[in-house]
Parts: sequence; structure tokens; C-alpha cells
Amino acid sequence: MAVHFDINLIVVSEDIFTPAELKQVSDSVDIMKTIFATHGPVIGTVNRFKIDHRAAGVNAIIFNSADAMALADRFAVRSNDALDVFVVKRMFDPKAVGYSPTPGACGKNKAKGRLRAPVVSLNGSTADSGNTFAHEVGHFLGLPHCEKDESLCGPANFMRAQSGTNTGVTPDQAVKMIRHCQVTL
Amino acid sequence: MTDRIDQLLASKDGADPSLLAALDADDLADVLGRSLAADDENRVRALGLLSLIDPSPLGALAQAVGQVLAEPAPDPFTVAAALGRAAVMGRDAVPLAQAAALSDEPVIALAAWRTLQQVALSDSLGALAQMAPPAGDPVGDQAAFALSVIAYRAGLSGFELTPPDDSRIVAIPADEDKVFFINTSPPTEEDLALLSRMPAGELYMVRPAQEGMLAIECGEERMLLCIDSDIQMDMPDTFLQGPSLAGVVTTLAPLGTDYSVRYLVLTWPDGTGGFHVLLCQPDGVQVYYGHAHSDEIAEGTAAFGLFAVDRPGACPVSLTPSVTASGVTLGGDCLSMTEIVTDRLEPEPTD
Repeated sequence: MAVHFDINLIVVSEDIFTPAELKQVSDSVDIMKTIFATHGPVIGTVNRFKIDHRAAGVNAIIFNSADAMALADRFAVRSNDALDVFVVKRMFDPKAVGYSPTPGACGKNKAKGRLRAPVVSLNGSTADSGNTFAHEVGHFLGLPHCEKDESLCGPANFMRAQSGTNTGVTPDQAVKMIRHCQVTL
Repeated sequence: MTDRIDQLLASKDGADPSLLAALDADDLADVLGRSLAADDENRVRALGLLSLIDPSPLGALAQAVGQVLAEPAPDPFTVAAALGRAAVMGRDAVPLAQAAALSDEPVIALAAWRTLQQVALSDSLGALAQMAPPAGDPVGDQAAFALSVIAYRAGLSGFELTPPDDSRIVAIPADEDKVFFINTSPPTEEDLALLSRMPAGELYMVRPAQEGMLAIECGEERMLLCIDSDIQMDMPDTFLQGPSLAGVVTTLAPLGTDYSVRYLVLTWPDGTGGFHVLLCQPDGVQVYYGHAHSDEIAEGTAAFGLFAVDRPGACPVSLTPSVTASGVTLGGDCLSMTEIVTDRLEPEPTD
């Protein structure tokens, strides 16, 4: 298989997502896969998981990055080593629609502090959330914002700080991501 | 539609401070319009931006929150967002949140109780205690925790938390070598600048004493221990007088753009000359616990062991905080294990 990484897509409070919101999740994954397929690493298997609203409780409500940490601290897919990506309906942080460490750590049981896994939301249009999914996973795989390192980026790049619906990605970004421990060569 | 608001809505995980500083009346009108439009796909975020631009009790945020709460069939998450952002209005958010706490929709009730937890004072405690649902489900548990936080903020007894028993304390094994050091230092100018941007409501009305504030590096997490200035001046004796919301521990966002509250620091007397210290997440989950016995308090100093409380994802630490009127220092081994000792909860595979 091509250079790839696998994902555990964990939909938080899935039972209260509307059919349109579930479609937005699937379409956002497709956009993310398209972005990563351009130069690799490609997204291999997308394993789907859910956390029921009652089990998620207040962890379904993300006011800030501390709440995202609490969510990713409490839940993990332990049956495989794929990258956990949490999807919530909305984030209430005026400045963020997703969070991720840059780069993220491999190993589900590591306690290195900080956020353990990307947490993304459906704020905005499908094109917006598709970028959000890819953008935060890009951070996890080690990509900074373009404004931190313009040499990695081109126009309409998906890692701009204000990346909106951007889908652009460069070979240099692919080279950087391929070095991440989450990626299988 | 203004360019600046479009740019802010296009940002993913941090807002450009210079953009926020440049916002004008046209931008405010744009974001207010989006906040009032039930079908705007960026409505939740627009409500958040309003809380940054005009959080005054009679301002645009109050207008938008009022409209959202008055809508006949609003999206629950939009209402929850409105209630959450209303916390920046301080005590003026209490009547709004109090009414919404009765909602049958769990997301709305949870957000309302959390806002009350952030900003309500003792004058609301009686009424809130009357209307709180029983503990045992997420809303009831959040309500019970909120009542405790409000009582602790006011120094009132009657809502004390139950300290974890010994079976729930997890410690680093004596021969464990997979550990790393927890480091502390004074906060930097940047830390203080970020903290100063947090509205009082987001700090749970804690007024941090700058002198004695502690920056904590735990692995890759940077935190600030912020003790309330009124409480710090009489530490540790004040912990023997009654319950207190002594302070908060804030955590730095992944990109270093903001702090947010990770733990509430709650203390209360043990009845035998000592006191309990419990660090809880805002959702009420107990994370760290210490018990300063009477013989560990002398000459204006209390020193005691602080341990992790078992929970999914628990990670033991070895710390000995020392509390004086000058602040808190972390002594002892200052170690954390590199791996958790209790499994996290497993999500369910989707059919």
C-alpha cells in the first residue's frame, strides 16, 4: 500500500447528529482524503466509531482547548494504533473550530500532557469543515501554519492560519508529514 | 459581510490579535447580523466573536443571547453556545442561565449549569439548590458540582465535595523508572498578557494574584496555577476557616494562543485542624487530591502530598505542594509517569 496513515473517526454524541450533519461528516472526510491524496501520505482505512450523547455528557460541549483535552483524555480507541480524530457538532470557542498538537505523539497510553488527539467540529459549511478536518490532522502530522514557515506552502494552502475552504497542499508538506511516526511507509 | 469578519471565520485554531484589535462598527454590525440569523451556518462562531467584541451587559452579545433564548425552536447547540459565551457578561448572565437550566434539552441545561458555575454568587445559591435536578445523570451531576463551586466561591458550608477514598488514589510505584520531571517557574510576560485577556467569567471569577503565580511544565503541557489574591494573603489559615475556590489552573492552547481553565482548585477544612485540596475539571471530574493534616501545617506553611485520582486516563504524579501567603511552590519528587495507568474509555464501533 502507498505511504499512508489510518484514522479512527470518533463521532461524539453521534445519536443527536441530524442526517444532514452525518452527511457533512462523511463529506468532510472525503475532502480530507482528497487533500492528503494529492501528494501523500494518503489516508488508508477510516474506522468509524461513536460515543453516545449520554456517555459523552458534558464532554460533547467544547468551550475551549481544555475541554478538548478532557475529551481526548477520557476516550481512546485501544483496539488499533490508528490516529484518533474526535468530531463534535459545534465548538463554542470564538477563535477555534478545531484543535490539535503540532506534532502529535504516537502511542495511545502516553501521558505527555497537552492534547492527545485532534478534535474537530462541523462549524461552517462542508467545505469549511473538510478543511478543518485536514488542517488539524496536518498539525498532528507536524505541519505548522504557513505563516510560521512559508517555504512549505503555496497559494490557497490548507495549512494557512485562515485556511477557510482551502485544499492546496505541497510536496514539501508531504515530505514533512511522511516523517511522522503515525505514517506507515 | 466585512473582510475582517470573513477572515476571522476562516481561521481554524486561533484568531489574529491584530485583526481583532482592528474591528470597527461595520464589523460589529456584520457579526451581530450573523448572530441573529437563525440560518447562518456560522452563527455559533459569530456569537463567540460577539463575546470578544461587545460583551457588555447591554451590548450586542446580550442582544443576541436574548434573541437566541427567545426563539421558539432553536438549535440546542446554538442555545448552549449562547449560554456559554454569556459567561463573559459576569453576573448579568445569571438570570439567563438560571432560566435555561430548567431546559429538558440536556445540552442546554449542561451549558446553563456550567455558566452558573462560572459566575453565580451566593445570592443565587438557595434558588439554584431548589431547582437542581438530582445527581445521577450528566445534567444532575453538573448541577451538583456547580452548586458546590458556587458555595466554595462564597465560602459557604453545606455543599462540600466527597474526597476520594484511598482506593481511588493512584501513586507512582517505588521502582518505576518511566517518569519525567514536572518543572515550575515564574510566569512570563506573555503568560501574563494572555491571562489578562481572559474575562472574569472565564476565570470563574478568580482574581489571580500575580505575585506567587506559578507556571508549570508537565511534559508538553504548560499550565498556570492562579490563586485568588484575596485567598492567597491568608494562606494556609484561610483553608481552615471554610470552603474556598482557591484558584484555577489554566492550560495553554496547542498553538499557544490562549489559556483556558483546566482545573478548579477547591479546598475545605477536614474538621480536625487540617484541610482537603481537590483539583477538578470544569465537568466535575476529580483529577488530583491532597490532604493537609493538622501536623503538616505550622508557622504559616502547609505542605502535603498531592496525588492523582483514579479515572479513565489517570496518570500518577509525585508532588508535595507547599502553601504560604506568598503563594504555592511544588516540592517533593516533582515527577509524572510517562504512561497512564487506567485505560481510557473505548468508543463503540459504528455499525
